[in-house]
Amino acid sequence: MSQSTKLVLPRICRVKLHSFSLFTLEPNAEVDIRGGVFCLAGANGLGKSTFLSAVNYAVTGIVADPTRTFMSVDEYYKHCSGYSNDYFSGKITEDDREAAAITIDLVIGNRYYVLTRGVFEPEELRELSIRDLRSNKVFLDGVSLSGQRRQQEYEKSIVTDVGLGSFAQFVFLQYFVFTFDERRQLLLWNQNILNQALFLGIGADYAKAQTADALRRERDKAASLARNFSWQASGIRSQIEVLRKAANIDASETDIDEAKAAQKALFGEMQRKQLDAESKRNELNDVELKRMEISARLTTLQAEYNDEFAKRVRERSHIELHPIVMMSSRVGGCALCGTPGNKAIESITTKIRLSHCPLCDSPISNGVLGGESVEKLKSIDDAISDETKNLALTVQTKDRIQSELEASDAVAEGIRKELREFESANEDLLLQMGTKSENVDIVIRKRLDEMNDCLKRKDEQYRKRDEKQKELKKLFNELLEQYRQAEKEFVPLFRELASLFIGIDLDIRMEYSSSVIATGLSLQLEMQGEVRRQIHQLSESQRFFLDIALRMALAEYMADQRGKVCLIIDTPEGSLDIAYESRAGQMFASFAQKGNNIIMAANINTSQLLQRMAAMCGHSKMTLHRMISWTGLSDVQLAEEQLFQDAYGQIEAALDKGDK
Amino acid sequence: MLMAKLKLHWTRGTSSLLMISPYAYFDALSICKRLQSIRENAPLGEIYLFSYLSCLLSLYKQRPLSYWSYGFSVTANGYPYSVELDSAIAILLGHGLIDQNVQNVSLTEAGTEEHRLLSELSQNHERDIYIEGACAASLAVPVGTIRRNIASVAPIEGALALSQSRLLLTPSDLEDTCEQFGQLSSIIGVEITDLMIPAIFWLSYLSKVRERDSGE
Repeated sequence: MSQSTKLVLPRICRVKLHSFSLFTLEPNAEVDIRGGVFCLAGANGLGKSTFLSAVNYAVTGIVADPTRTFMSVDEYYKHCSGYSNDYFSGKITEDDREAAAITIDLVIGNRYYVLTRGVFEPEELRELSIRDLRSNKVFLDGVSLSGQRRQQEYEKSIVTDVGLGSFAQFVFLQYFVFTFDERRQLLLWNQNILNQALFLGIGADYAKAQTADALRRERDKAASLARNFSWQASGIRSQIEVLRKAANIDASETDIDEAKAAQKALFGEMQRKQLDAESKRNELNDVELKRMEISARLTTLQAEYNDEFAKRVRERSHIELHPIVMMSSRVGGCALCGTPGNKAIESITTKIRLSHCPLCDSPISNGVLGGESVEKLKSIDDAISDETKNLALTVQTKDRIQSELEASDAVAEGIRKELREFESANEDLLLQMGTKSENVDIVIRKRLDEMNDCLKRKDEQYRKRDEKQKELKKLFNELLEQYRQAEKEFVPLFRELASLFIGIDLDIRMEYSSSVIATGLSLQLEMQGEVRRQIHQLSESQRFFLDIALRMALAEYMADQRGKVCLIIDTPEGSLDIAYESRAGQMFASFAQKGNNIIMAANINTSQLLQRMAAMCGHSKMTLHRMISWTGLSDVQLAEEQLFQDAYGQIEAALDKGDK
Repeated sequence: MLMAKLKLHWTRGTSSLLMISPYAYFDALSICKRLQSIRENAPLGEIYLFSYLSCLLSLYKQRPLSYWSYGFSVTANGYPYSVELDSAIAILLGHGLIDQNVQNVSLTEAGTEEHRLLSELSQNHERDIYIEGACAASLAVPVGTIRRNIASVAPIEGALALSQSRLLLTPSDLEDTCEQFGQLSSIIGVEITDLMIPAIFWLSYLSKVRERDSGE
């Protein structure tokens, strides 16, 4: 019996933001994350979720797309790698786009990683260093490497140090097991995600997770192809029936010849009209190309015109409008040295008139901009005018050809319709035309061969599907065996946490389905002896916290050492009532007391979740970070700011109580 | 205080050079000149108003929306506003081509010469047709009525009612106006050269709609 491989899980110790303009008051916020619970508490809309997303983005290089359905580990990673730009675009101001970055310190076993990722550079790292914690020796210093190379080295090191098969698997675990975020993807009710998590978490061989993923896709593809062939075969069967029926109809040679001639005439006419339309289409393409060329020339000319105009305006000397000169004229004396009287003014204006600076006497431009500069503008303006006329004519031509094309298309479509109607009205005659000339038996035999070929291919695909299913089943049997070994350790972990929250006897049972529709393991909750199979049998908040308990148990199980897990949890409180809030706080505190870490965001209120957690953890196991100073509060929040302070005060008091 | 104001013009005039729109520059000069010939001086806000009306007249002549080359938004005071015009006015003030006296502006001698030179350019010549039509409408319809009528059109009216800023001349905003222009052109034609006529007709139509709506 094989022993499951354990993972060395990463623990985040420090987060530093650079020019993260969403946090207007603290764009360079820095937080040290000690052991236990790190709780970022703040008002609504301050960016708590964004902070957690930024942390995960820095670690993985992606932001999870909430609209994306999980298909496979690799596909999800590939798809989401482009989403971070959209996610951060509205959150970082235009002038901070280049500077915005996130630095993360994280520990994996004995390795200390420091990495910096630009907010809009998902495929690169700006900084990477890895050192050995025991010897303090730098294992990797990425200073001389390119950004992309740093990312490659980072991915390689993470995969090796954590003990996984690929970086995509690491990203999957980070998002679907170690993080409970706004997407609210629940492991307990999504068999596909759960199975991948189990393969990675308790499976013996991580390569098998990838194999299972590929096998499932190949099986589904084969099943889909088999359905297609089956559909094609039934279509041919219908055609054969029509042919057999037609073979029994008797018609005169004259009728058949007439039908044949009429069909040929219509077909010929349709082809001619289609050629006409095609020729119009080509003409339209040519004129469209011409229009684009003229537009491009116009754009260039327009830019030249704008440049020339700006240059002209810039060249205009306006020394007589300088504040000191204007002030002098208004106060009736020199505004610089204070000499009063017309003489001073006269001296200034004479110098300006003679195109000399009144202060240093240097020659200056006389400010008259006629002649040459206007001539230049005029020549560009004329060219714009000519091209505009050309463009108008080309657009006119295009409109004409477009309407001619529409007319040609309409005529061709009319004849096509006529031909279809004729063929449908004379189907029997036309079929006889084919069967009489070719011999109906030959045609039917040909169709029969095609049908048999389809049926054969359908069987082949079903065989392929069954083979893949068999291989998949074998893998799942291994996983099943692994699960049975793991459940002795894993289920009590889950039961302990979940019972703390739900307050009644609760169990989790594994079910295995080997059907081709839904092969795999699923976990069924049993509360007071009754199975809650359906999602609606639990409230939304109950589902959330039981799923968090499952993630905690799974992460603890897969970690090489107990108390080495770091989970990220985004505002989980939802609509819990006061009693469940308190129990949820107890569940989190119990997880942290075992030495695990939770980085969480929570709304600051007087909820029992934070208070109970604080009272159980004390300052040694919980850090409360006040986020309201990171960005400006809304008017409503400002008016009631004291309420936030009161809530913080209550949690701080609970933390003090926890220490005692 | 005066020094500070002058300094503002000086710096605004120079720093805005990079974003100058030749068309807004010419429009501001031309509108200023025409309003000045009608009423001696031109309140600053009316430059925006008549530029907007001129732009609408270019649409009446079936020019594409992009033809005007700069856009407008609506501000809380009910006047259409344009950043490009704003920059152009700052430059014209900074260069002494227009003078500002409280809220009124007027062309200086240098400004008149600049307008003469730029009017020779064919693109500006065409723009002048729309500007002429728009400004001449104020001979027949009081400026206050023009402003109120234009402000009664849906996007501006909505923005004013909610004290919001909004972009003007978006395709959905223009649906009603284009329909009204379509009906108007079926009576007086698109080829009409004196655009004061469609401008007055359209503004009178808006007055009637306003009277009808307030009567209800």
